[in-house]
Amino acid sequence: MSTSIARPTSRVLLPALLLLIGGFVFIRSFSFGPTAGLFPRMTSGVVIIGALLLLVADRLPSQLRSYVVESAELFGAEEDLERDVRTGITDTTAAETAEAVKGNWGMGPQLFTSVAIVGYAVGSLLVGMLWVSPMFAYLYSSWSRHPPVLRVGLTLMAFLLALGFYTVLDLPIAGGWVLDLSGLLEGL
Amino acid sequence: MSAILPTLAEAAGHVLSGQTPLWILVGLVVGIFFGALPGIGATLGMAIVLPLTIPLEGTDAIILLISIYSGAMYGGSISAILINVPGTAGAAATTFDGYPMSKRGQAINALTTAASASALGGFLTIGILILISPLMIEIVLLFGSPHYFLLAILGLAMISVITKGSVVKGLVAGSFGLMLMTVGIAPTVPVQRFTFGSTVLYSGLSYIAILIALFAIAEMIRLAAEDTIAQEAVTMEGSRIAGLRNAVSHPILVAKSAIIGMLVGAVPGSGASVSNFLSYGEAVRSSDTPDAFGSGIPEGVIASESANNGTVGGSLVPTFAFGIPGSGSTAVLLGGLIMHGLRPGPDLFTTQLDVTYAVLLALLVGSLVIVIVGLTVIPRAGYLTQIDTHVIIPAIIVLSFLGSLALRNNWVDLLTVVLLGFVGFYLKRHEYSVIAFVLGAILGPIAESNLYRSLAVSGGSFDIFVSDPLAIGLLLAIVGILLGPALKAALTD
Repeated sequence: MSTSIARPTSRVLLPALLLLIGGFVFIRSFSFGPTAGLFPRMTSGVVIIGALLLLVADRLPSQLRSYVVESAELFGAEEDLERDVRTGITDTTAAETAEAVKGNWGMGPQLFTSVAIVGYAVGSLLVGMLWVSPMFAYLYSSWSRHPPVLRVGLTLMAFLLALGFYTVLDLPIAGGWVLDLSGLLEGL
Repeated sequence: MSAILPTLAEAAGHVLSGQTPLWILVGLVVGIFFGALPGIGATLGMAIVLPLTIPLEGTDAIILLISIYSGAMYGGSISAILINVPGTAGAAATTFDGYPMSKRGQAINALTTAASASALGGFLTIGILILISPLMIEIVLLFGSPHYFLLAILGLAMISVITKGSVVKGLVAGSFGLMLMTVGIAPTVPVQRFTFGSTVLYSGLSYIAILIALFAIAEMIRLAAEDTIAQEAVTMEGSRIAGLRNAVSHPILVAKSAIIGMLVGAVPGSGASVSNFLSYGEAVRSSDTPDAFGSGIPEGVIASESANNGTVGGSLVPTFAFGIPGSGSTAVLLGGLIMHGLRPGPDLFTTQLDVTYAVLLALLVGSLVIVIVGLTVIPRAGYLTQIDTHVIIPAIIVLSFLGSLALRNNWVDLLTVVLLGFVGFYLKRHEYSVIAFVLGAILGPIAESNLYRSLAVSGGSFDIFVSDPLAIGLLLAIVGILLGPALKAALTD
């Protein structure tokens, strides 16, 4: 878990973040007038009350606390069972997984995936998704220690996917805020 | 019944002509592929394909999406049978007898039994739905703006109670989704909300970007910690014809399981993950040889697979009629409906009834395709169970990013995908219902419009939400559902 991006404090930080955003929406909603402000006020009100209850759950009376934090699961749940199924996957391959998913460069899988996603997004905005998509695929497959053929295959696939979006849907992804290379693809 | 025949004929003409058969085939193949990969499944597959449906005509787009859903329901059985790991939660009970059959050298029998049972179950439930559709039309037409607003709240309440995590967490997640959709110009009055003066926020956040964030990006971050789903090749042995015969020779079991699946599918929040266990349990209970279940008998595979495909048809009822999806997959489907200008509710049962019938008929055709694919291609598709997760992850992230930008060519959608992807990861980790979140995001603009319309009719009075028996019934249902867990706890004590 040391490489995981989730920390125990996120249990508290998450409702705190929701409370903060809910509070902001609630206060700002009064500036929109009675009609446009009603719905944001109603929804943020529920978010604020719910987040507050979750934050102070440990100090609530036991019956209210169980309502606030314990799963109802009246009929069993789609998400619940999906998670169980996936937990099964992890359990059955746990021994191999521990070693195999470590990846390159000393970064754990979730940390690397998260950093790569952020880098991919920032790169896309700066120089264009068309060029950054194959770079992302190559970096990810290098981190995963895929064989060279697979790395090239994934890189090519990412470029072709992006090129497909560029040509078929006419997406302006050949350039970004700091670099525009769309001239290279004129005629496509 | 005779009144619906012309519309049914028009829908049949649509399904069997033009590009529609191609989209059914593409959807099923994509769905089977995603369904066969544990941890991927129908919802993620549908979420990343959703933006790609923009150029398609609305009915074809929905047919493509529903075909992915249906294909994934069958696809989930492939890894369940071959490696004892269900591709989707809806195929979990298939492992009980499917895997033992596979170990006994009957992998092909089990796979073709699953395909035939899935197809027969799907065929039967869609037939029933078409037959009862006139009754559904009558019911849907009873609903007006106040009722649809209350239905949106009821849907969120049901999802909050039924899914994993506390009711409060579900309500917070759902309300957060509703709240995020208030960004942009208000639906009824020209007032900017939370745009910070930026034009890119005028049209608000995209619920499709939110769908992609929660069902694709958050899932990929989670899935990154898992490895290849199987390490060794599976021996593909057995008889295709025997598998087909297995399903055909148990018509009562198929019918019973499919109807269980359909009924469970019609309850929001339950879905195939529940129906396959219920159906399997019923098959064991009513069997003359209950002890044989779990040892590798076809009846176990039939019960589970007929039920999960029956659920697909059942789940369309609340989604199409009331805009309340029963699962992540139907939430994406609802998003697709709205994206293509098809509003759930009376329209889909009156002026756009041909769309509803076309989707149902596409599922019927899809059932036949599942049998054909199941008998021909799948027995050679053992390699699907050996695909490395880390090959899939970059492909899905690239598709998600491109898809998010394809929606409106607005970089806010890309940021939404990234930021809410991380938020979604933590929401899941701490057992907040992401389905409630997504449902809130999809229903937000509809719920707000219905709220304003209702208040406009009543002159600003909230009494309109208790003005007739239907509204009072819905309100009582909301209160009952939200207090249900507390009552259950009190009764248990």
